Amino acid sequence: MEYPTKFDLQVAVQTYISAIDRNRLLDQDEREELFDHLMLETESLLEGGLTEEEAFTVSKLRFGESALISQQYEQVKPFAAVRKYILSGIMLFFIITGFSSVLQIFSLGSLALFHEWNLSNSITRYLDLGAKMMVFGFFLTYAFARIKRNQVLKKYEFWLVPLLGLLSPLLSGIAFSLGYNYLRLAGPTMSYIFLNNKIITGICMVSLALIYYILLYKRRTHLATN
Amino acid sequence: MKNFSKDLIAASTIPIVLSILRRGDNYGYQIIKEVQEISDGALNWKEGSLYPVLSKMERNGFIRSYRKKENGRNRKYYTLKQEGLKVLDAAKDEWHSIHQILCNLWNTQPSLTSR
Repeated sequence: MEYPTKFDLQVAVQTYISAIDRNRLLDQDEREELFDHLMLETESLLEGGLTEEEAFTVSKLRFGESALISQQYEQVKPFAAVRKYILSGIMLFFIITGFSSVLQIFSLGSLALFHEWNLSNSITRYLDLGAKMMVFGFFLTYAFARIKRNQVLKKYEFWLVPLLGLLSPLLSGIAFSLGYNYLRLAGPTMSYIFLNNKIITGICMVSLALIYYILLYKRRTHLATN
Repeated sequence: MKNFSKDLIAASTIPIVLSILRRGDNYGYQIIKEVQEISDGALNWKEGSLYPVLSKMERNGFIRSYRKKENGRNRKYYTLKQEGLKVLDAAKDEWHSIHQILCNLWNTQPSLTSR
């Protein structure tokens, strides 16, 4: 048996705005502006005695065809889409560089512990793996926050991520020179750990792509059903 | 009710928005309501089309936006900049000239008054 779904005004307005912003050209400010307008219009119609669903339908009609408004935004921001892809590419480069360097630093840390504290091979590997899982967790959190357009992240990442990206190879270089003896003595353990780094970096990038496409698919399905 | 052509609406949107902002700072929804009120509903814009225009005007430096908290919502207000004022003055001259030319062609008395 099917139950009628309850109309949710906020969701309906957000879905309509997402249809206008299909090319992701609007910033948060502009999305909020459209939201404010549609809510004001709907609220004024509600005072006239319409139901939420009816009021929103009229608001939408008055606001105009989403595809047309989307096209008008494209005309106003012709290079926004290209610029967005270029910036995303640069950011991705810095993220990969930073991430792989952080992993190397952790590996060197594990090796230093292995030699200084005479830890067994398997304990070193577990420590190394634990540290990498932690970095992987941070990476996934970052990826989710980035895709969900977290405002704080949006505000700081444009200087923080490149800074970390540039700083990390530098730190990793220093760590390498300091840990040269460990590297020389390490042998097979070392090669295992560094191979591990590359695999985990690869897994992170594949995960990022997967998260992105799953969210994109969910968003499209959501728009289609609405 | 009059039905204006799309081209005329497109050409007049920026001067109309600038004229409304000359009266004082305003936000999108209210700008549309004022246009409807002044034109007695004759100028019936598709409301959503105003926002790309506002975005374009802001990018061109005619207007500036700021946020103001109102009734629990963060509302985006627009204010006219010096550049926008210059554009408005130039637009007024152009519209007066066109109006004058058409009146001469049609042998009618111009009734537009400059403010």
